Amino acid sequence: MVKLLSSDNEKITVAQDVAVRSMLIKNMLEDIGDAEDAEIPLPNVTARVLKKVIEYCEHHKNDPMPPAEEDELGDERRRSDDIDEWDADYIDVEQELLFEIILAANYMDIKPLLDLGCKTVANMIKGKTTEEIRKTFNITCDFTAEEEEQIRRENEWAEDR
Amino acid sequence: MKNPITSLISRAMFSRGSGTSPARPADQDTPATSTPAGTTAAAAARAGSAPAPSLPWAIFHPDKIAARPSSPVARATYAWSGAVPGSPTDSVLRARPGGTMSPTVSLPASLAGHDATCALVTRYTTAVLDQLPLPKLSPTTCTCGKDAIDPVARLPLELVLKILAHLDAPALVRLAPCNSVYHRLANDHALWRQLYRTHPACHASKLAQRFVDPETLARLPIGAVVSHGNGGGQPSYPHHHYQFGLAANHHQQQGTSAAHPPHPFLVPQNAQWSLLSTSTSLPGALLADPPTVSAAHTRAGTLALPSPPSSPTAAACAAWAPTGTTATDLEDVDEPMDIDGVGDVDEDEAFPLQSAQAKLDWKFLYRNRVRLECNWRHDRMPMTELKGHGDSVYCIQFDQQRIVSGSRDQTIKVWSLATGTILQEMRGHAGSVLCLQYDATGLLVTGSSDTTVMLWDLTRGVKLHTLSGHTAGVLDVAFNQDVIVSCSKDCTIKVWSRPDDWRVGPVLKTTLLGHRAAVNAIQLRGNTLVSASGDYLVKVWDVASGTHVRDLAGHSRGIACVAFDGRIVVSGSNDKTIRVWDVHTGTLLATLEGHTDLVRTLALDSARGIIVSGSYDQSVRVWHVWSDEMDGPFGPRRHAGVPARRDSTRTTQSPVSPVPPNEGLAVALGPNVPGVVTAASATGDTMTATDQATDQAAVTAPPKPKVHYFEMHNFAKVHSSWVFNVALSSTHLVSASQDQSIVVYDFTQGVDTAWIV
Repeated sequence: MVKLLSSDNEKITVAQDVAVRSMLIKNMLEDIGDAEDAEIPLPNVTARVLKKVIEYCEHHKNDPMPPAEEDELGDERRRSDDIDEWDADYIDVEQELLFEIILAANYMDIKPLLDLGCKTVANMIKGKTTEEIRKTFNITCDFTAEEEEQIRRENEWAEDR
Repeated sequence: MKNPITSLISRAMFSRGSGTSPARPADQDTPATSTPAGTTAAAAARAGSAPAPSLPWAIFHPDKIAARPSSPVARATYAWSGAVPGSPTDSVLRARPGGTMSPTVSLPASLAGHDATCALVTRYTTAVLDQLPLPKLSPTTCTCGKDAIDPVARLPLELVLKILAHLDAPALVRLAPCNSVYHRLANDHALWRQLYRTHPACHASKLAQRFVDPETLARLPIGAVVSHGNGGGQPSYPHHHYQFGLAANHHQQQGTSAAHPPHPFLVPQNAQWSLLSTSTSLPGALLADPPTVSAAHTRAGTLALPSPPSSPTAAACAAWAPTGTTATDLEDVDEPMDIDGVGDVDEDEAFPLQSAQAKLDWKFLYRNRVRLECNWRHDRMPMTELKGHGDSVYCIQFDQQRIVSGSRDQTIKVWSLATGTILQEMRGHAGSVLCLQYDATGLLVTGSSDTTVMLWDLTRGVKLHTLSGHTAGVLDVAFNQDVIVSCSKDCTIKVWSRPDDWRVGPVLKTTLLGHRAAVNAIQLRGNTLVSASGDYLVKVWDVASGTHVRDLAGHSRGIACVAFDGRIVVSGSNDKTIRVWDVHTGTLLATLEGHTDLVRTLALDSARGIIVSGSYDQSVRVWHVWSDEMDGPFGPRRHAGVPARRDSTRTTQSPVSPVPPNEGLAVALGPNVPGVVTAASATGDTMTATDQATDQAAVTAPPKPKVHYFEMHNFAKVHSSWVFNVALSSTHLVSASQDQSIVVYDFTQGVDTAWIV
């Protein structure tokens, strides 16, 4: 078992095979060897988010480990339509928590979870108009109407299908 | 006693923290722990009379701003924005529902439309956002979504880019107008490079394959870093800035690119071109505290976090600086510096174009490719008719400059592709010029109904040699570095040596026997020769050894034409079908139906999944062929359209058409070939049976890649008679007909062809 300490000082104990889905924790465990009572502080993750992250790791503890090294922007087209049902259910949370999960997955280095989060946000962008995207994410426009129109014109070609 | 984990963590925290979110530590919830961005912005703002160069740069027309450094409006606004932290304005903004998200409303109305407004507002917004304890914002203060949160406000930019990497081009360009930050993010070169490399229309291109041969490289307009006047109002990259902090460190920005106006398609090497790329190593000097920062990165890479995934965060941090750095900035940058500390090999280091001191604008390249593909898809091409031959035009080949044609009028003509004028005319054959091939060295080989093969120096327009040996018309020729191959109505294929010295004539090496009817067409790739004959067979040969490799059997009538790219064989027949084969296995991959008469000519571009056919039904058709798998024989589907993958079983067969009295082709078997069922004797029923048997055999054969097709275009009215030849490049299509005309279809409208490599 591995003891984790959240930023709000909550102690959470998880099975080792669950904890090591986080490369951050995995590397630390490897570095310190077998320190029985060691507590791993995760000062960037609150208990609420950490529990949610652990839920993901529990479900995926038997997945094959993702390749350690991967081209950040490889030639593989990044898909976002390949989210399985459990994952889709899991990540169906309000934006606040969604971004917290992304941040935690990045910090704890859990690549599949980070991907899941990124895909989910990408799916919220896809198929929307600019105005709808702004609404979805509460994005403030800092362009004048003319500037915005100019950018739209510049990019008209991409809609040519 | 120090807990080893804690110490590890603290180091990880430090490096991660600085790497992950330089602008906004992940768990920051007190405005007091001001972010670097906030600090710098605020500090610069507080200065009030900050020198003009440290003004935030406008997204548009930066030159205008630079030209008016002491504009009272700008100065006033700037000073005003200095009141951000803890000022009444700030409180007002926070208190008013939705106010934090639209500080623009608080700007003096006189600023509306001013060039500077956008940049200043961005800066102000950023400063505000950076100061705000966003996690504490109650959802109810948002007028928009229930819990709508701007990802840029919550996530480090490299994570936002990770999200954007899942978007396609239409989504990216709809995101761009959201605001200036998204505009910049959506133009990120790494995103577009990835889109380019994975777009089906581009992925086969040399640029996408990261390989540009020296010859092509020399042809690319890379050295031409010319002023383009920023045409079309598109912001040029060096002026593109993030409005996030650090600007205060860039007093030297003014005058960027003044001496070297940016080429619109190239991102000068000095300019940062992507948040995700560290190929332009930006120095620690660009960050707040150089030694500390670079040390932090070293630690991130080597000590605390030996695992590679830490690199992207560090990379993003390294790339955090604004894009327009001047030469002075970069003087101390040139030291190769592995700023992300993990020895990350940037693929672009290996990209030969880098030697040209340039980065490619992948968005431009992508747009260029997509436009070209759209021209193909939507028939957007002007056609030019070349008139000049006095009789049927049997054969054509073209390159980017010229078209070479052979005609029944016994002449060979060279035309300008651009103007359509005749550049050269060659006479020598005593019969129709039925076939020709030329290469980049200027060797032209022609075959004629006068039974000879002639070799020409295309550059000088002179004849080099005449090869005699065939006993009937020479129907097709092909050559490579070592051999010249000719095939004839006399049922033979002859292989001639290709001499190094043209003072020596080619010598007949071998004669390939096996076809039992006229050999109508041949194609040579490497040492593999495919031949199509009136005996219903495509034969595969090895010309080096002179051996027969296999037969591709399936057509139910004579075969008129064949195209071959080294793997895929496409054959067109008097049975009106086009068949697609795998040369290595002999598997029939697809049968394309649509033509209503003999398929006389074919051109193949398997990388783009394009087959062009010309027929005695007078039409030129463009087919899109694709595989289920990316690495299938044709790659994935590229063009939209209703797939017309029809059942291979035909129940009806139109009556046998009369043998075309065409000297150039002997698809229908002449009576001089004994022992072969003539086309005229085949009935519809037997043909159907043959086809079914063949198709079934193919189905039971080992895993057959699924190949689909649909007919993209049917140019039915272009020619008024039989189509004898088609030739294809990625930008043009050329067809020649019995109606004596050559037609050029130009798909380059709005496309910069220099970049189609």
